[in-house]
Amino acid sequence: MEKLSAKIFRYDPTTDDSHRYETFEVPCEKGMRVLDVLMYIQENFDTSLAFRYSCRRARCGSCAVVVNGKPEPACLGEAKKNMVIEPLPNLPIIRDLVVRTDEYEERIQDINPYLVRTKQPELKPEKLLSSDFTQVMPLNECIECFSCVSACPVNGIKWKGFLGPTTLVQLSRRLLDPRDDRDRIQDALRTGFENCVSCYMCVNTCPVEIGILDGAIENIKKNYIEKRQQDDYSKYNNAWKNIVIKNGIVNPFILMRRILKINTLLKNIVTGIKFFLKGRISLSSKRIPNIEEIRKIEKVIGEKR
Amino acid sequence: MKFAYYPGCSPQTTTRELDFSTRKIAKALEIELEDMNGAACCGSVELRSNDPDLFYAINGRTLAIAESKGLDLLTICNTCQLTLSQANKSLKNDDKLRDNINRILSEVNLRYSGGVDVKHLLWVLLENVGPEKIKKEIKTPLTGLKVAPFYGCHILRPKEILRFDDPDDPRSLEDFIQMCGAEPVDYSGKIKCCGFHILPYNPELAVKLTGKYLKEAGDAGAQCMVTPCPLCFTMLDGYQSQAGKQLGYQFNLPVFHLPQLLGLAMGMGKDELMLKRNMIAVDEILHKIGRI
Repeated sequence: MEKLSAKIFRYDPTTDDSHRYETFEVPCEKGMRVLDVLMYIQENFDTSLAFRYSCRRARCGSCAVVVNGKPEPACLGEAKKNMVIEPLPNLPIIRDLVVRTDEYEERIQDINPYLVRTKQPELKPEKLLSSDFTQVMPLNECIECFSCVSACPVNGIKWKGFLGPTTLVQLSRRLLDPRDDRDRIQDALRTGFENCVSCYMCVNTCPVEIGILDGAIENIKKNYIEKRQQDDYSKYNNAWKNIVIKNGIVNPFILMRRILKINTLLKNIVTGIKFFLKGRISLSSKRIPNIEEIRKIEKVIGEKR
Repeated sequence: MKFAYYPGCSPQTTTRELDFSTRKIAKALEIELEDMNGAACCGSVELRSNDPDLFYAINGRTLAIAESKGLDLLTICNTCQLTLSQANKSLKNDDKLRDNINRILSEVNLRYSGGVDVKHLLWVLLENVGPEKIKKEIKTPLTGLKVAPFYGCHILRPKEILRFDDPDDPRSLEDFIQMCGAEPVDYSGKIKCCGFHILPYNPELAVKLTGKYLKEAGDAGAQCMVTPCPLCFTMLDGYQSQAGKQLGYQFNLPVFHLPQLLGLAMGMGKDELMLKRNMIAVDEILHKIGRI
């Protein structure tokens, strides 16, 4: 029988100074999943290999690991001829492939991830239209496997300031639910959503293919800008939009001058001078020749609203 | 070979050397670039989340201008590539959205029927011009130069929109570096985020991200970097000293725009590629490849 090679991350923080890799040769069967490989190794080679699983059908989200650099639920990922299997990054390791997710689960609780209703529905049973839930339904598919958290570069660098994509998916579910009465913008304030870099790593990683950025995080951003016009984040986004309408082209210096506070400007003054000396800062606004067209388009959209 | 040329905001303001060097290599490779005077900013990710109607209308207008010329669109910025591709895909596939946008565009005598493709310069070089033709133009190959590719995000992800490369294991930039005669350096940060889009309201975090990948590239043995995105370039080149200070590290990793590196391999000089504008001096690299 053909064999595959699985190089597996091993580490026990209670006894080991650092991690190591162990390679196992496993008989390869058609349709074999990564989880099957791990179970084979545990049953036949090393009973001490630690990994987590439960449902075995990509619903519980507990078995996610990194296979050849990409996070995925082990029960979903097809076994490959040569695999390096590692624990999810950005999360503390308990042992081998098992990571600690409780801290992150608590962070989800921070945003009250349940339906909050202060008013009773007028009709019973309540009349619900599927069209009101078009945006919510895909978000309900999240299995909280934390693959997106482990792929997120901001989670990797600023863990505490950004609650991460999974939390934002849960917040967006409630924000977009027409039945929910809670002020979700207050919850959004605690998530650090503005630190999302729009890199699409979470989208690329999501095993159930939720459009995490366009379908969840950008809804939070849009709602936030509408409701908190005076906040720095909203001012920045509105300044961008207004410059596009005014000039058709965004001169970063003009944008920064409008939004940056004096202390931030002072902190960046050395970089600013270097940019200026290299001719990278233009003090005057450039404008596209037929800017009237952009203004007309904006006016027509405004009238339609 | 002719394209409607969409440089975007950054190459018309902060990174003018990218626009300049693009025109130089395009002329040498017989890629005709027709200027789209009057095309507006793509709106970036900021306008897309803030005002989707305006986002689709403005990008619909840009696509309509290209369509009226009978040309596909050529971009030189990752974020322009993504936002125009997203708008294009929606306008091509969603009849109702296209009708709505066309009603708005009719006020400025434009109409978009979905006949334009949006292509990044990197893709045009590899796919339309082709390695054979480019290799013929390589007069001074960058032999022995170790170059770290930095893809940036919006030329790879989301894969449903940008289908050119494998987002987890891309090859196009490595192929490009090899075409220039140089040696690509591998490191995991090459497909990660430079942090540009949060720079205005969280510069500390943005610079931290930049520093992380600069360090990875340096540790992997890179002598310089190349990126297809002017926004990534601004972070990697312009904020390199800040990133070094933050990490307590002395970086000296020159960064090239895509056409600057290719131009060097084609035998073009420092002035032709506006290399003096790069914040991290490139002289050491020019010395290494025997150009000064």
